[in-house]
Amino acid sequence: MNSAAPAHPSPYPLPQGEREKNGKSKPVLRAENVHRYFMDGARKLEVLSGVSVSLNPGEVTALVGRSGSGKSTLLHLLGLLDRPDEGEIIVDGTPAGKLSESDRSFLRNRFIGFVFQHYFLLPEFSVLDNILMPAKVACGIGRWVAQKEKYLARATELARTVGLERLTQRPATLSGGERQRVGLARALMLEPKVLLCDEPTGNLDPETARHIMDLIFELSRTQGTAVLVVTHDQGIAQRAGSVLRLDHGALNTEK
Amino acid sequence: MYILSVALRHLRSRSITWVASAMIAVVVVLYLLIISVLEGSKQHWMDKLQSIMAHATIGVGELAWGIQKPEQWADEIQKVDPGIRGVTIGLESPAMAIFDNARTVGTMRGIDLERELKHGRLKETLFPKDIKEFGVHEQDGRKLPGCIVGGAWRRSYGLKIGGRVTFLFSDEEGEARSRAFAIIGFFEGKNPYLETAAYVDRKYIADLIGVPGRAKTLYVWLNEPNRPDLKKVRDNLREKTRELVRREGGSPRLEEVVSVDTWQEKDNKFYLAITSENRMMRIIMGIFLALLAFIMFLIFGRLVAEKVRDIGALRAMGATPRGILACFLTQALFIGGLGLIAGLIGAFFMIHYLNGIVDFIAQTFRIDIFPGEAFGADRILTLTLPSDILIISVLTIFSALIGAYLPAMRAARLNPVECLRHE
Repeated sequence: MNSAAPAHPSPYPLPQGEREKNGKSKPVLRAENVHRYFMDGARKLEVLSGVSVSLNPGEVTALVGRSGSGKSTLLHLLGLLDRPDEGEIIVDGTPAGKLSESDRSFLRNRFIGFVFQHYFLLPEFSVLDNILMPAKVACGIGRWVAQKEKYLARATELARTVGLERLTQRPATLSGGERQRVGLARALMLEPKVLLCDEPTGNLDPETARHIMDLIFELSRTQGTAVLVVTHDQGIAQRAGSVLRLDHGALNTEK
Repeated sequence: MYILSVALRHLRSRSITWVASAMIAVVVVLYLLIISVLEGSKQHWMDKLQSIMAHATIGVGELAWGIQKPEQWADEIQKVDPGIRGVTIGLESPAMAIFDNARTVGTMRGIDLERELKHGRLKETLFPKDIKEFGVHEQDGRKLPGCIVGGAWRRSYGLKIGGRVTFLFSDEEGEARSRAFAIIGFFEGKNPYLETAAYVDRKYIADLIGVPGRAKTLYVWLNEPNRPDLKKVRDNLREKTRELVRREGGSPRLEEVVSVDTWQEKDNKFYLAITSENRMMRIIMGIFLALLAFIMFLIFGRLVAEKVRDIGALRAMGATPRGILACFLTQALFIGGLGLIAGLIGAFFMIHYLNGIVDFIAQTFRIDIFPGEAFGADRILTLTLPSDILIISVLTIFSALIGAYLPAMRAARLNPVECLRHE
């Protein structure tokens, strides 16, 4: 785990008791007995049935399974974009179930970074502005003006780290690999404790995909970020510290 | 910070937002231009209507003996309302005016000139300006009292200062009387009825008619003739006048014949027509603004539909539903604000150069857009009230926000997962 003080200390009251219990890292993100149902007409489909998962600092976990097995649903639940029908998502010791939408948004901003298969970059903004966006979400105008230089330095450094050079370009002018680098840099802007990647290499050629995954593994190792990668790529699964397979809504540990 | 950032970036990069701003600007220009022309026209007609007419007129025409102590009444009437600037005294009599080369029917108005010049509007159009008294003037060996003649007669009969007019009228007994007056000046009444008259000394004419010292009309002048409680002032004046009639020994029936009319009631239908026209046009412009809100609704509906994936991305980055709502409302505020500023500038430009533009169109296309003689003015008159600028500013911003609100609410309520799965 990164021992340096976080760049964005949380004002959120987080329970501290479970940390470093028995010398082991406490999971930064947990799903406990999570169920998620969807209605298909009158029929109730159980996509996730009692799934429990823990993401630890500095570990890369691969989540595999067939299309429609509920991988993205689990990722969205872990990322607080969705709410489970049963069970609980616990972010850094804080149960998220009863939090307001505003508090969940706050936790998402400060603790969780997303990398999407389809990048989801904001087309009107430059590369640099896209990377800066989580910081803009975190700041009011006053704080932004006061800390703009610090954020700019951080964004520029991240862009360099992921190998981006054309920072004033719009996303439309970038290649798929470059766009995903922007997406990765953006996800890391506020030094999140958890990185949730939804098929991050799904739209990339093998060479570019390997570079992106190298970056993700390296960042997890050096910054202690807990990473969950949803993937169909067996190569990525083999490199991951642990592999979870979703099958008919149930989670099995393969590695 | 992202709210401002996203709103500004969407504004810059989406041509539809500029179109929306331009449409708002056009509505603002139209609103201010039309309302300014209407207000200018209203002011023009009100000025004509009001003219040199008093703001309230107290008439006791049916009291055979008239007002016996008009100065005392004037002093008491003055105390009815603190907004009364002054009270002048009149004695009107229909008369035939005989000039050197013509004769016509009009009104002989006996006034106290000093009081009239102090409180009334006569001094505004009086020519020459320095007339202080009617005086007595010698003409062809005759000593004639002075009179001030209306502009309509001056123009129609080519009258000049130093000329003569003879009035033929009846006294209180019904006997025909005539008296010649020396013309010492003219006044402009702004409307033909008021101009077909001549002012003479009241006390002199009262003696001639046979009601010495008396008057039949009191003219009340207000500090604010358009005050909203004008009718209340009228009622108070009516009550006070009846009290004065009672005190002088008048019967209850005579109390009823006291007439108190405001300047608006003197030509009630015309006044109502002008004010109704103004009000109707404001309602029509209000409909335009409602249409503007609907257009904003359509534009923002489309913007939200186009930005579903961006909304999902922002939510994933921690944007709150309220933040998403604020993004779109801020954008609407910018669009409305830009349109308003451009519209205000455009409107002031149009209003300032309106007559030049109309002349240009008239000359280029040979169209008589503004027949001045019909309006009694040689150019289009405009009056832009600060209250209208404030109203259009508030309504424009309100329309922009209200139009954008529902789509913005829809954006805020979008499920982020569905946004991220949106194709």
